[in-house]
Amino acid sequence: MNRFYLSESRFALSVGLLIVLGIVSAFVIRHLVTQYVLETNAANLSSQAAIRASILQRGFKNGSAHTEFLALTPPIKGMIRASKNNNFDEREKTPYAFWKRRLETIFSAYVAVNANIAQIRFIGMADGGLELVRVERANKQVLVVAEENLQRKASRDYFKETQNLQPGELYVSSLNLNREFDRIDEPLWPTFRIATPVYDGSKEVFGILIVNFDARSLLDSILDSENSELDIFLLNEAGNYLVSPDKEKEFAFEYGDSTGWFDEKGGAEEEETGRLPSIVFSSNGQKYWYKLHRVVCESSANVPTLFVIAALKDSVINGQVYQRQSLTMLAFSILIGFAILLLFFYRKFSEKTLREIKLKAEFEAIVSGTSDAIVSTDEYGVIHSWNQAALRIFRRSEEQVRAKKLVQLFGDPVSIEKISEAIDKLSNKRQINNFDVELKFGNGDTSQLSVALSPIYMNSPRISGFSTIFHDVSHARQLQTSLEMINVELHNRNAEMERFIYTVSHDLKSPLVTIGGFSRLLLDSAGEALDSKNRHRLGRIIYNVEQMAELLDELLHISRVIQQELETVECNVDECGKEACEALNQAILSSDAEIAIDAKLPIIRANRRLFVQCLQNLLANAIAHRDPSCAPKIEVLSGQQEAFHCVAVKDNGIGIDAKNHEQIFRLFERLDFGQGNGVGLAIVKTVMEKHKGWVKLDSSPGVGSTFTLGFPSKD
Amino acid sequence: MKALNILVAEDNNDHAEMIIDALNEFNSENVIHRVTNGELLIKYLKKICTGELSKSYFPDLIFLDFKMPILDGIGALKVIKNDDLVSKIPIIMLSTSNSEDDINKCYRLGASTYIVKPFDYHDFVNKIHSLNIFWATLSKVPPR
Repeated sequence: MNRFYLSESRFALSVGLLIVLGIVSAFVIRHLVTQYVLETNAANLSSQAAIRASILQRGFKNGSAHTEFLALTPPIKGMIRASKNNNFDEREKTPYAFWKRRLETIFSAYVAVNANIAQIRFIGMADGGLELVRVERANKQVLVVAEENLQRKASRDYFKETQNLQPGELYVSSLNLNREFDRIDEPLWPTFRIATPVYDGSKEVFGILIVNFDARSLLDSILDSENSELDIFLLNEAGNYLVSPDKEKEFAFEYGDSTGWFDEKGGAEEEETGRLPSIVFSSNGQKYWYKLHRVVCESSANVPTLFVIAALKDSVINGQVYQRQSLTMLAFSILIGFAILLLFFYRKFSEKTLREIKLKAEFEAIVSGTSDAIVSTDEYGVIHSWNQAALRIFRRSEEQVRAKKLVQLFGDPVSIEKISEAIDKLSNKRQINNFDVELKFGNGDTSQLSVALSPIYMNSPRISGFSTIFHDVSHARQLQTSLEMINVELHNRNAEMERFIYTVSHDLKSPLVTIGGFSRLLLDSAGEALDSKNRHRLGRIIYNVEQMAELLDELLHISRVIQQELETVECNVDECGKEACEALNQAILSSDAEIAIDAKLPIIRANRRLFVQCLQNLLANAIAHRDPSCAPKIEVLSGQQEAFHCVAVKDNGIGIDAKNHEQIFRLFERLDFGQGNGVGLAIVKTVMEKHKGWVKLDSSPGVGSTFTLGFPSKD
Repeated sequence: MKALNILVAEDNNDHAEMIIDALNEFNSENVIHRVTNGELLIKYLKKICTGELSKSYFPDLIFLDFKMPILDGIGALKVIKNDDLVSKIPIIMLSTSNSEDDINKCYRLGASTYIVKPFDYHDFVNKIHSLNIFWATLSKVPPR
């Protein structure tokens, strides 16, 4: 068995393993890809969060800058000096109202120019924190709020906080939805305040400068329209949503819904570099992978804690994983598919190889096992392969055969001629029959070989060589020759025999004529002179002559039957029976015999004369072996018995003892109490043998006899 | 009854005796000549034809035995039937053989009759007499 053979089971196993490998790899790949995706996204999200945080920082910084700048504008100093000096600034010789108007102008211009400033106020400590100047944006217009509408803000947090700050320190409020009179302003807009204390010359807080910023643009700026997959969350300190992809959640805490990021599962993860935490929202089961960045404000006081979260939906991550994964998986599948295909073809190949090896082995077995010589030559008749039998038949060794021409194996020119002619014929695409050649050896031995020569084609119409099979027919030829010789001799013998019999019978008959003739003459002329005894003796001589003549005739008859070819015709049994009876007419009459012919099978194929002769002989016997106490009743019956057409002669005579059954068929045998010359049954037997049939006797003493003749039926 | 010139060719003396006795018995006028084999038969006939012997010896009938030495019945039959001068002579073949082949052969060669020699003398004599009657009275022998 080919050790590289890939059996069906092994093939199935390999394919199975490959598939399992494929599946396992799929999982591994998925895992690896997921890890990779998470990692790359972790970095990405971190930077995104950082960027947005810095935007917010910058926003706050800018805001802080505005606030600081505004706090330092000269009108503020002027207003402080004026308010301390009975509403008149001694230094610049300007009334309070003048400075106030100046401040209003500056504020207005500022508001006008800075779209994200919603309101600038200068609030004094006095009078319960009465607003001194308030300029706000209302309906896209810059409005200087009239004095009667100025409010008192001493109770407000920002006021309380700011007044305690040192000069230059800033207060940054948390981000909230803007409220007017404690009611959420509609349309909604988020706001934050930056305030700074304003000190008079001595270290007393005069008031605060507070700027209200419209946080909309700032918050918008941290959203990124470029990357639609990126989700940004902005959380306040409590984790409430200031910015969320779900707009409903934004500033929901203002409406009482205080669920925040940190309440959600996964929201309070520890920050680890590289690792990407995930959060699952309980409300809708949405999963995000995120990176959180804390917004750091440089202002020292009341820094509102803000968290920027850059997140990606789980589906987005999965999408990325899927994308990367599918490509890899495809490549991998192709590889595995390719491997399976290779295995498949290998299996086919190894099967083919196995078949070829088997075929080759079988062929080799035939070639080496056969007793015929098999010799292959190239197209020029040069031997290139042979089998053991070849070496044996040609009585050569391998060296004597290798690279020799085929014809060189033969010494006999006739054989060489025959072989060369055959090769020529085949080369010219003519057909040849098998032929015989003689192989002569140095020591005088010869062999007869039957040669079968055929061309070898190797996938092209051109002959590439010849294959020759030599079959030793010496023995067969010898037998054939012997047989022919024996046949001839037999034929001769037969002819001789016939001549012999013929001659003998005639030579024997001739003296009989004389003996019979003269005996009769004697009896006639000198009979009176003889006594009765001698007369009787003469009579016996004459009688015996007749017997002998009959015998000789019968002998001649038998010999002719044996010699000649049997010619058969369709004989009508009834007719033949009647003919036989006619010949025995005398005997039938004198014995008062009753002969009945019942030919159930009417036609029998036989030699008519011989058939009648047999019937005659059998009937004669039946009459001769009659029961003397009753008249003979003889039946002639015919019918089919297996493959034979049978005719039976049945009598009611004395019967024949079983011990004599075989003997009576022999030539010249007679039973004691019988007449006849003893050849009748011998003739019957010979005739039946000549017909390739048989004769059978059924008889026992007292029961009568039935002789059956079996003629072969043609079918 | 006409007397016949009968030529008997028979090698067996006993048989010849019986034949000749029977012929004489039947008609003592019959002129019978006997030869013992086919060769002598031919010679005898030649002699007649050439005139060495008188034409009166020309046979009306030939009894020809089948089996004879030197030249047997068949051989002599062939020669006689090939010779115009004597081919007309009716020839009676005598044989112990009952074989169809022999009978066929003789008739084909031109024998007029084929007789099987019987072993019963009376039978034998009857046959000879019948033949005699036939050729002497019933059938014409060719003129000499």
